[in-house]
Amino acid sequence: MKRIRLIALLFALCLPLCGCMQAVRLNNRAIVQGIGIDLAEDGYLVTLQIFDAKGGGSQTAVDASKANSMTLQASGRTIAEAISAAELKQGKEIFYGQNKLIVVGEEVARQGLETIISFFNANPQSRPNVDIAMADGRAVDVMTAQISQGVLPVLSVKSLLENSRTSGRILRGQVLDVVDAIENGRLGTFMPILVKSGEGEEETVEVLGTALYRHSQLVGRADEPATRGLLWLRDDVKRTDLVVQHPKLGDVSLAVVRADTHIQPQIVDGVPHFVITCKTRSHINESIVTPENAALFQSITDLERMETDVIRAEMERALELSLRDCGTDLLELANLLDKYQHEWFVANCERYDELLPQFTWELQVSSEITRYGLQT
Amino acid sequence: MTRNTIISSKQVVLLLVLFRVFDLLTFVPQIGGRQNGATVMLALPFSYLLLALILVPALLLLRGRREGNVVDCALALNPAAGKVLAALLFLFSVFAAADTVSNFEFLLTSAIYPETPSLFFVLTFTAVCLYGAFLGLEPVARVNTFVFVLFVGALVFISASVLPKSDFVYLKNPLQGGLSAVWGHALSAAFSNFDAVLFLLFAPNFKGSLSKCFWGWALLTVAMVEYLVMLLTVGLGDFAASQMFPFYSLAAFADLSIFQRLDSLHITLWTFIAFVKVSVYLYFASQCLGYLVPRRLKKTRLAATGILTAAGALVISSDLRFLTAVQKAMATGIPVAVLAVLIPFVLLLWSLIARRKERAR
Repeated sequence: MKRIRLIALLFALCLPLCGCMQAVRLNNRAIVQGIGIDLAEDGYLVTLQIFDAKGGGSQTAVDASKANSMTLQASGRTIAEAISAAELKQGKEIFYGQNKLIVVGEEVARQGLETIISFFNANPQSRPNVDIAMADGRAVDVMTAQISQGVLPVLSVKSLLENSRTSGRILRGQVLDVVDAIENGRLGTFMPILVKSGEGEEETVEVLGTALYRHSQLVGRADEPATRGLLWLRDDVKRTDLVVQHPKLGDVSLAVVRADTHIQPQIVDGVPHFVITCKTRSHINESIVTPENAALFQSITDLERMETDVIRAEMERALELSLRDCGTDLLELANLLDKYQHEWFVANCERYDELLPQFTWELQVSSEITRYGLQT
Repeated sequence: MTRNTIISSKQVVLLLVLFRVFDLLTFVPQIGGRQNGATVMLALPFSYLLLALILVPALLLLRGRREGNVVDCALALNPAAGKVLAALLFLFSVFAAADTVSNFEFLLTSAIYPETPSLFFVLTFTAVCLYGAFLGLEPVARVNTFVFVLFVGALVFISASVLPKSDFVYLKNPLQGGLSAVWGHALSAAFSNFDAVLFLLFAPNFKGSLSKCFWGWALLTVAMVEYLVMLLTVGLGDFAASQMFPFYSLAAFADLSIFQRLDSLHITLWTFIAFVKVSVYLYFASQCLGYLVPRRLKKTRLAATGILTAAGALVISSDLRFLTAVQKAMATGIPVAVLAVLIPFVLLLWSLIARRKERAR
């Protein structure tokens, strides 16, 4: 009996505890799916893409043929102030735990990302692996694009980024990559460049290339071949397609199914020299059909050599662009030097940015075509 | 003192391992700058070898008296010395419990409930842990075994998500800072290991060999902590340096198939581990208080311990500087040096001298 009374007392005590923490119902939350950041007169202009279900009637709460979102803009001296101002405009408590994408305007990127990244790094709602991209121009244009595919515009953009990444066409940037580069002090970072294209119902968002940053400041752009070169160098290619032009066979499409890159740092005459080996394995995706396909099989060695040349050219282009033109370390060479050439690194780390363009390299690329598709 | 709870040595090992893991899962104040993760990993086994060496006097002292703990040994030699030691151990246990409650509240109010006052978490959590201490060591040890299994499962899950994306370039040469860096860290880790004092308090509460239990604790802790340090180092890289709660951040971006934001899994298990840790410290604090207060106040000693713990936690939580100061105080190694090394050594010598005098008579 005493135990029952004690348990009852404990339950009764628990009841008033519900008032100790504020509860916010789901319909009182504005669930942010994407955030765009531009410069404003008094600080920053924040564009929020908020989930707003546009139901298709009694059966569906979400109509996939409509853009189930609303856009909200607000400005403030800091990102946090701008988001607080956005709350006042629509009355719901803003929740960005489900935020999928951050788009940074070009002006903000030129100013430096360290001014805006702190908000996303310090805030417990935000995840470190949120995608981050740069707009070609203003972020508000990308965030307000009325993409008719998919349930939400920002989900379509995220799918675009994921598919492009999987097919080896873009370097995907995340918040933790930016913070990593800032904390390291020697590395650079990167993110895809997005631009709105088309008009009316055909409005969409495209990937233009890759924005390159020295630490946290925008210093250049990489086109598609240079972007893929960076992917080869970073050992980030999971699968990609490339085309080689054979004098007899014409254009042959190859699917790279495996790529392994290793970078070995050495010091030659006091200057870091990197031996970069890249081995790829490919399948033939598409080639011309001839009455006797002996020509294809006799040309495999040529095709492998051509593939090697394409990959090597892309890697050279990427190295020239990142190290010489932009002076940014996108390949984590500083970490490799710190680990394997520690003495040199300790002696020269203060002048690392200055010495970066002097780095030399040697590319050893080998390609192997192992499968020929289902065509005999 | 009469033993009123017997647990197995395996349960003791699992308790101490999870207490050590709790520290890694929580708050990492930026004391002394960034440390090379590989240096920490190399230093850890040496820290336990050093711990084994400095605990020799204590283990020799307790070996002949498995029915009692160090306080009973001191009481047998001199009642006043015993009471002083009991008071010191009581304060130590309350301090450790208050620090754990404070760490618990700090992470919750930083990462999950920023608008909730610290008082709410400190009071409710201390009350729950008081109940755990009231139930006794055996039920809490059983809960801990269950939590340990869950934790290992969660760690496997998080690892499966994080390891494919990890960069092993961050595992640098552990001797980059020289042998002095390794030795310095081993020394610091050995003397700031509060669980060494707890191990001595556990002595009368488990069956089996003290030394076997110690080595089981050392080996499992080294394996667990090495793995966690490696995972944090290669999973987060330089990003870890910007994070107040690195493991929480690691769990936040871990995702596997449809499972995302595994930080909720981390918080759940971390809460259970915190509950077990504080309950055990409150239990032993209450036991030590029992040596100091009359028998008629037996029932109130747990409540008194809880009130002091809550008060201590509130003070520590009131300012981040206090929390950092507590971490620095623990890192000095003085509590462990005095309670686990110096005092047992003195007691051992004293008991040897007393025994010789008796034989001489």
